Amino acid sequence: MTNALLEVRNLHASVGEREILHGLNLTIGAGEVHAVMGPNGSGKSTLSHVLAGRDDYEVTEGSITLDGQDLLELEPEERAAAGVFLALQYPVEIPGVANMTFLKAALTAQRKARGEPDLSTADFMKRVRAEADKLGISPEMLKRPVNVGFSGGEKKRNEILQMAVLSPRLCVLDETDSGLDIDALRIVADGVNALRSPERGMLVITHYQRLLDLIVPDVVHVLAGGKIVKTGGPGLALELEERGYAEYLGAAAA
Amino acid sequence: MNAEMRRRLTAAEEDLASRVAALPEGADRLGDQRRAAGASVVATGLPSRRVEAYKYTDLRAAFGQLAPVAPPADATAAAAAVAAAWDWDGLAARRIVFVNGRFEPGLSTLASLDGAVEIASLAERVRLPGADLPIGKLAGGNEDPVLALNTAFWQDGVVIRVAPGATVAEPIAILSLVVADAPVAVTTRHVVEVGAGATVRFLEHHAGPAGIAYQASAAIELEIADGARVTWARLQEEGAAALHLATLVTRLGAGSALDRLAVNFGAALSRDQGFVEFAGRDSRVGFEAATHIDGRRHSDATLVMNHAVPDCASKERFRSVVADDARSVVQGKICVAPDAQRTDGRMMAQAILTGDGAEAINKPELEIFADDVQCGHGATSGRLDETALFYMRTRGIPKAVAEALLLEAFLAEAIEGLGDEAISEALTGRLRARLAAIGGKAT
Repeated sequence: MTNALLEVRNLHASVGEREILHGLNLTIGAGEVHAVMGPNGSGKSTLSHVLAGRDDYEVTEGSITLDGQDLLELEPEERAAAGVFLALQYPVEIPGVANMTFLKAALTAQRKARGEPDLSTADFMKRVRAEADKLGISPEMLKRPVNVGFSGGEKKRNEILQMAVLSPRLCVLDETDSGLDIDALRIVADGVNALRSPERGMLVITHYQRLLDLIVPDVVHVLAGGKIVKTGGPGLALELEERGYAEYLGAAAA
Repeated sequence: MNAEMRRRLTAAEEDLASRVAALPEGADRLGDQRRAAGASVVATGLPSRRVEAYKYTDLRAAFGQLAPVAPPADATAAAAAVAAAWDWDGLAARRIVFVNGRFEPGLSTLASLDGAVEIASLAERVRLPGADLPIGKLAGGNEDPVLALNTAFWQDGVVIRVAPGATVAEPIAILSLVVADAPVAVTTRHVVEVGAGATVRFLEHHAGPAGIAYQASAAIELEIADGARVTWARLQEEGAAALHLATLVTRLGAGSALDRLAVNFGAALSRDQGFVEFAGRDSRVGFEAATHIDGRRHSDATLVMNHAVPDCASKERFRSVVADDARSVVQGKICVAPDAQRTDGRMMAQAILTGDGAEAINKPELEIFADDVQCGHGATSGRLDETALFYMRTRGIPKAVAEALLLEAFLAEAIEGLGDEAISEALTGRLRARLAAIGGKAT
């Protein structure tokens, strides 16, 4: 692959004294959707948080680049401006900050960081309303404080709305399917699929295959014991669903 | 050996004693009132940390010297100060302006206030032959030394009477400014009587020069008659070296309501103290405070809520953002008299500490002598929510902007608690500008 969008090389990351990722390699090309599956405790959430730049995680070795740019040198907000978006497993409630205000602050800051002109309020509103409409997010929800009092499904849809408005280069979805019923899952998946494009890469992190029925990946990786232990096509997800992770737990320990 | 006898006078206390001795002689009631109030503070000394109500705000230590009484400000400088501080066009068309403790009719706009609202200078009012003494009606039995100092030395103030049944559409602004290039003392005293069934809103604004250690004292006696509704917002933006001492003494008749908001941004040391008495049933008081202090500032909010009669409700929320090495003090006391049944009294103090040396002190007190009441208090203090900060940053919002948004949201909830959209919006705007000006400093 010549045009890697995301390149993770020999990534070692720790929380406190404990190393969780032990030399992880992952390459995602523009236009590709990759899934990372793995059992509890394999390091899936660590991977997503390290990509986004959470400072509770310390990278002790290895590199992460996006379009050749060293992400590890960047603060979380700089990574966002560079095009990284992390849809959280548990979106955070922010009392007192309206959804619309939050989105505007985010988009304004990103455009400013990239040296792009600020969007007019009218254009911004139009863009948000159009995307919100597709996700079944009401104007009333846009006025409410970010995620406060939202149902699980609403929170996840709100994540996808942010993703659509911010239009990142790399979308990282951390267990976006958790806590969703099948209808909510479909809305979220439709939202994600609408964002698939030749310029954009996606990393879908999940326990379960059911999300991958709806967001069909190009590549599936198995993460176990802090490393990618197997890579395959979409068929690998089905195989995992049938046989579980048991054989990989052994492989990771070896 | 009595500690009182051995107490050594500070320079300020010696000065205080000589100023009290120099109060004009004469058998008039006003002179008596001033001398008695001054003598009470001379007798006890300035309140130190040994006095329970001043345990965390030691004024004996804070008053190095008593500053000389502020001279009248030069007219041009006074007008410039008003122009710089006045930001309420479109909110309050009418204003009552004090500069250096003196009423400035030329800088005030009172034209449309006649009719429902009567306004007079306190200094002029007490000079009228045969006039009653408007001050002390509510504060008479109150022995607080800060209030006593104000009673002894007030320079001027305003007497406001709102006619019964009147609804005053626009807020009335009371602007208190200091113009000085050396430390001065400024003392104002206001008396406000809101007639039965009247509705009125006030916006009280204090400001002064940044680098001058001036001493500002402001006291208000607010009588709220039966069925009246009062909204009172105050914005304290004194200069960073100033001492600001504010007292509100208020009494509510039956079926009345007071919503009060204090926004505290300024002064090196400030104390905003309230003494509230419910004198009639079915009344309600809401007290909100939004404090943002940095540097080594000290901000004290003290409130005594006296439920003397049944069926009243009081709700207080103190929110403070404490940066750098600043210190916030909240003292709230709810007293419920033996027959004040069905009292509902609630108090909450919440602080976000953003500075390593920042401190928040909460001293709640409940004195409940009735049995059928619901009273409670709570306090929280902590850092900014790291999870929320990270979340905002992953969306591209820089750390300083994210922090400002979270702090604004925290304080704006108290500001919005006033229940007056127009005033709250204006004050939230002021807060936003302050947070933006401070920028990343609050980290």
